[in-house]
Amino acid sequence: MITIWLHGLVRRRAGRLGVAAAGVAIAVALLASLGAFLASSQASMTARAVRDVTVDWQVQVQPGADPAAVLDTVRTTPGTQQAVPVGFGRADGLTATTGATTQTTGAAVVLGLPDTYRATFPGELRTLAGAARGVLLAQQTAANLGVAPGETITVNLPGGAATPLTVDGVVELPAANSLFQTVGAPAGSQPNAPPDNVVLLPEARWQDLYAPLTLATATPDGTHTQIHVARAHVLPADPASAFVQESGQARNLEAHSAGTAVVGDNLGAALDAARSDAAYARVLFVFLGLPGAVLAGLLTMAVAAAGAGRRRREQALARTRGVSTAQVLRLAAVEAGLVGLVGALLGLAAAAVVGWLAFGAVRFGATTASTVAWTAGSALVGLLIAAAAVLVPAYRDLRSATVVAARRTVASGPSRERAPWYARYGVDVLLLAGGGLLVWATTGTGYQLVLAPEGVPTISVSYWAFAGPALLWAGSGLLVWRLVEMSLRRRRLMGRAVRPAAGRLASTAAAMMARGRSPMARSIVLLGLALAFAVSTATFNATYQAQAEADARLTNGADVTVTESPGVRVGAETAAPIAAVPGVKAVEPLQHRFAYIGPDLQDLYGVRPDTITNVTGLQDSYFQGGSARALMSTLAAAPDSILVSAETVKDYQLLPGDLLNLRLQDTTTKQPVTVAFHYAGIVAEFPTAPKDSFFVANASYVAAKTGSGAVGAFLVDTGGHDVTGVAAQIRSRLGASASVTDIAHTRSTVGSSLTAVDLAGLTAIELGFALVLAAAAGGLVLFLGLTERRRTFAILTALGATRRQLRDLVTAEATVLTVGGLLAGAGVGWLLSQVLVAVLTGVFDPPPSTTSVPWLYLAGATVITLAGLGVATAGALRQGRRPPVAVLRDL
Amino acid sequence: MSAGQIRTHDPILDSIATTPLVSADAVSRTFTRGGIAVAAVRPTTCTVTPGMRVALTGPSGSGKSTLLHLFAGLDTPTAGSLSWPGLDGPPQGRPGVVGTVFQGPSLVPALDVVENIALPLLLAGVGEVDSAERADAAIRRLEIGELARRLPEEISGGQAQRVAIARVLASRPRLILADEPTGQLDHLTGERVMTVLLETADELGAALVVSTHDEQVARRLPHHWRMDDGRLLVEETS
Ligand SMILES: Nc1ncnc2c1ncn2[C@@H]1O[C@H](COP(=O)(O)OP(=O)(O)OP(=O)(O)O)[C@@H](O)[C@H]1O
Ligand SMILES: [Mg+2]
Repeated sequence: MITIWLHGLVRRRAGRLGVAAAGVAIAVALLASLGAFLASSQASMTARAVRDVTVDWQVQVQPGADPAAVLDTVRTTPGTQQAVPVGFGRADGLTATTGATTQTTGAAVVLGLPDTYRATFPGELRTLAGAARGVLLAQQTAANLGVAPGETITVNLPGGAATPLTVDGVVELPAANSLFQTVGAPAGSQPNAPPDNVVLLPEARWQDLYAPLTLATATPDGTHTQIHVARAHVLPADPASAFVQESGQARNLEAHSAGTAVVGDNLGAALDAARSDAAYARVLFVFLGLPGAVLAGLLTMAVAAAGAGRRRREQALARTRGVSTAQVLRLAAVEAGLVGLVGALLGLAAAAVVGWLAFGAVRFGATTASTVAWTAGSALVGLLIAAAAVLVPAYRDLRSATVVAARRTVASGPSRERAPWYARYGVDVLLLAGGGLLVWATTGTGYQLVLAPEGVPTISVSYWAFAGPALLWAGSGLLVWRLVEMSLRRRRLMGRAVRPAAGRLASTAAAMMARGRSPMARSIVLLGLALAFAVSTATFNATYQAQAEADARLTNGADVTVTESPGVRVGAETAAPIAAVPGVKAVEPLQHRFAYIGPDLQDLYGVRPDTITNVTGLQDSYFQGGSARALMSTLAAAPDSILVSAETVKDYQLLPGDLLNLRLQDTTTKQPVTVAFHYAGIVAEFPTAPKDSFFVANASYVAAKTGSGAVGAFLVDTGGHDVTGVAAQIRSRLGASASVTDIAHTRSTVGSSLTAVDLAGLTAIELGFALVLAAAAGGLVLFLGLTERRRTFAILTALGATRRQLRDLVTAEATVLTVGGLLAGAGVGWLLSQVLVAVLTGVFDPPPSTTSVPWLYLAGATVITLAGLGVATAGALRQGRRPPVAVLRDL
Repeated sequence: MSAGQIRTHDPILDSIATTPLVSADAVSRTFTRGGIAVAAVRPTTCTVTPGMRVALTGPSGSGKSTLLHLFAGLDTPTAGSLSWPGLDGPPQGRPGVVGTVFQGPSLVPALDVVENIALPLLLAGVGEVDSAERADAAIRRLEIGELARRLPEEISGGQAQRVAIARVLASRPRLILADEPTGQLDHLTGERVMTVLLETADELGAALVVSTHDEQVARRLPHHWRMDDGRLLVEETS
C-alpha cells in the first residue's frame, strides 16, 4: 500500500514534492552554513586574539625572592618557549638642557632590557628615531624633554644620585598599557594610563644604576624584576575554553612558585576579551540566521499549503474508499519523511558547497563533535519543517469534516467576510507594541547585550534582547497580513487599483483576488518578510562595514597620515611638498600637544575647524552636545572653545561655557604656559586621537597662545585612490623625519571586536540566502498559486478568453503581489534594520550615528525578485496554454 | 475511409440554403494514453446549420462529448478538417460566438453565480453594467434568483448546471452546444430547462445541439444523431 502510494506520489506530484524539499533544503543549508561560519570564526578569534599579544606572561618576582630561581621555575614550566628577565626601576624625575632652557619631568620608569628582548618580543618597541639599541626614550618623554637622539638627559634616582645618559634613540611603546600593568592587581583596579616618562636601558646599564639600590636594606618602591614569557600557543579553538585552559596554567605556575611569582597573564586577558567577541558571533548567528531559517520553513509550509486543496481531495477520496485515519496519517508521514530527508540531504550538500566556497573546507564545525552536532541539528530542523508542513495539515484536515473541506477551494462560509482571529484580537498590534517596548528597554542606557566580566569564567548574554526583534518580526508579519486582507477584501478599491493591468477584467481579477486572498496574503507576507530579511541583513552589513571603515579612519586619521617625529618641529608650511605629491587631493595640518589639566596630562589636538572635514570624516556620534558640523563651527566662531572628554567633564564637573585653564608648553621658553579655554562640547572620538581622554581646540588659537604653529601630523586625502602608492611617495620625499601611515594598512590591523567578529563570511552567506529566499518567495508562491488556478484558466479558455486576457489576469495578480511585497519588504525591512543596529550596538565600534543603506544590493535584490516573479508569471501562462478540455477532464 | 462512414446530407435541410455554422469533413479524434490509442470519434462528416435542433444520443463513452468539444473548437481533430463558415472562422478566442454547457462542473470557483454568468460577456468586451443586466435576466429566466450571490461550492450539482446554462444564454451565442444539460436534474426541472433552451435558441435564431441519455429530452428535438463507438449515425427527422 505504502509503496504504491509512494510510487504514485513521486510520479504524479514530483514537482510539488521537489519544491517542498527545496524549501527544506534552503533552511537546512542556511543553518549548516551558519554553523560552519560560527565554528570557523570562533577558531579564528582565538588565533587572532593570541596573535596580537606581545608578551604572553609578565611574571613578577615578589619582594625578597630570587629572580634567578623564579626564572628557572618559569623556564621549566610546560609550554614556555622563551623567558627573559626585565628590570623595572623608578626615577624621581628626568632633566634635559637644550639651548638656554632646562626641562624637568615628574617621576619616570626606567626599564632594563636584555639584548635579546627586541628579537623575542618584536611588538613591544618600535624605533621612531635614532638607534635601535642603547639608551632609548619613549616618544612622549622625548617630547616632554624636547630632546632628540645624541642629546643628553639626566636621570634623578631615588636617594639623590643623578646619572647623565646620552640618548641613542626614540621609541614608541605600542603595548604600554600591558607593559606597565600592576601585576596581581584585581581586575578593574589597573592604572588607567601608562607612565608619562619612560627610559629604556640595556640590562647591564640598568644593573649599574639599580644594583646598589637593591642591595641596600630598603628596596625603593616600584623597583623589581619581571620575567617576560613567550608561550607555545597550543590552545582550544573556542576562546572560552582557551581562556579556561590558559588561565589555569598561569595559576598553576603561581602555585608551583610557592608565592615567589605572580603572573600578569596578558594571553589570558586577550582570550578573556575574545570570549565576548565569540559570544557576539553567537548572538549574530541568532539575530541574522534564525529569521532566515524560519522564513525558509514558512516558505516550505506555503508550498505545501498551495497543494492543500488537491491533497484534501485525495484524502477525502481515500477515506471514501475505506482507508482508515491511521493509514492516511501514515501515508502523510511517509510523504513528510520523504520531503524532509531529500531536503536535508540537498541542504547539507548545498552547505558543503557554500562552506567550500567561503572557507575552502567542507566542514560544518571546528571539531568533530561540533560537526556532528551542526549536521544532525540542521537535518533535524529540516525534518521538523517537513513534518510541520505536510503532516500537521493532514492531521488537521482529518479532524475537520472531510467532504465539506474537500469541496472548499476558496474562502467562504462564515469566515468569508470576517477578519482573521489575530486581527480581531489585535494580536499583531500587541506584538508590535510589546516588541517595541522590549527593544526600547534593551537598548536603553546601561544595558549590555553581552556581559563578560573580566577574569570571570562565565559569560552572560541578555536573552531579552532577542525577544524584542522576534516579537517585531512576528508582529509586522501579521500586520502585513491584516493590511493585505483588508485591502483585498475591498474589491472596488482593488478593481480600481488593477485596472491598468487588467483593463475590463479588473473587477473579475479583484473578485478572484478577494476570494483567494488567503494564499495571496500568505504570498505577500512571505515575499515581504524575505525582502525585509534581505534589507535588514544588508543594512546591518553595510553599517558594519561603514563603521569598520570609520574605525580605520579614526585610527589612521585620514587616507594617509604623516606623523612628525618627536623633537622635529615643523610648521604648516611643510604641507606644500606633501600636497605636491601626485594623487594628493588635500592636506590638512593637525597640531598635537600635551596639556596638563590639574595633575593629568592629556593629548591636545589643534584643528582648523573650517577645513578639517576636507580630509577626514567626522561622525556626529563622535561628539555630544552638538553635531560634528555645529561643534566645528563653534570652534571657528569662538577660537578659545575646547572639546573635552566625557570623563573630564565628569571629573571636573564642567558646564558649557566654563573656563578651563590648561598648561601647555611654550615653544620659545620651553616653560609651561597657562592657556584659557572655554568648554564647548564633548568629544569621544577624533582622528588619530587615543581611546582615552583628550582635547580638541582651535589650531590658530593654540599657536597664538604657545608661540608655535608646530604641527604634529598632516592628514592627507587621496580621494581613496592608491593610498599605498601615495604613502610610499610621501615617505620617500620626507625621509626619516616623519612616519607615514596609510589607511589600507590600518584597515588590516585595527583589532577591535568589530573586526574580530569577522562578518564578511557571515554576511556573504546571509545576503546570498536572502536573495534566494526573496526570489523563491516571489516566484514559487506565485507559480504555485497560479497552478492551483489551472482549472480557472481552463474554464476561462473554454469560455473564449484570449491569451491576452489570461495574461492580463495573471499580470494583475502578479502586480498586486509585487507591489504589496515590495512595500511590505521596504517598511518591515526599514524597521528591523533600525532595531538590529540599535540592539547590536555592541558590535559597532564606533557606534553608528545613522544606518548605511546598501542601495546597490537592494536594487539587485529587487531586480532578482522581479525576475523571479516574471519567470513565475511566464510559467503560469505556459500552464494555461494546455488544451483546456484535457485539463477540464483532469479535474 | 472506414466502412462506418455515413452520408449525412439531409434532403430537407438542403432545401434551406444556408451556410453551415460548423462543418466537419472526415473528422476523427484519437486519444493516446499510456501507449494505447482510443478512437473517441471515428472519421465523421457532418454539418450544423442555423436553426438546427439536434439531439445527440449514444451509450456512455461513445464520443458525444468529444464531438461537441470539436464543434466548440476546444479540441483539435486528429485527422480531417473542421470549419465554421457561418461563424466567420474558428470560435477560439472569440467569447460568445459558441456557447457550451459542459457536462462537468465548469464554474469559476472564485466567482459567485452572477459573476460567473457575466464572465463571458466581460470577456467579449460587453460593458460591466450591460453584463450585469444580461446576467440578471438569464438568472430570472432559469429561476435561480436565490443563488445569485452564492459561490459554486455552495450550490448543488444540478444548480451549477443551470447556472452554466444561464451563462450560455446570457452570452447570446449563434451555436449552443449543451452536453447533458439535464443530466443532474429531476424530471420536471429538466423539462423546464429544455423549454428555456429551446425558447432561447428560437429567440436568438441559434442552432442547438444537445447530447443526452434521456429519451424524453431527445424527443423534444427534431433532429436525431446517434453515436456508437465513435461512429455518427444521422437519423431521419421525426
Ligand atoms: N483526454 C482523454 N484521454 C483519453 N481518452 C479519452 C479522453 N477523453 C475521452 N476519452 C475517451 O474517449 C471516449 C469518448 O469519450 P466521451 O467523453 O466523448 O464519451 P461520451 O459519449 O461523452 O460519454 P458519456 O455519455 O459518458 O459522457 C471514451 O472511451 C473516453 O474514455
Ligand atoms: Mg460526455
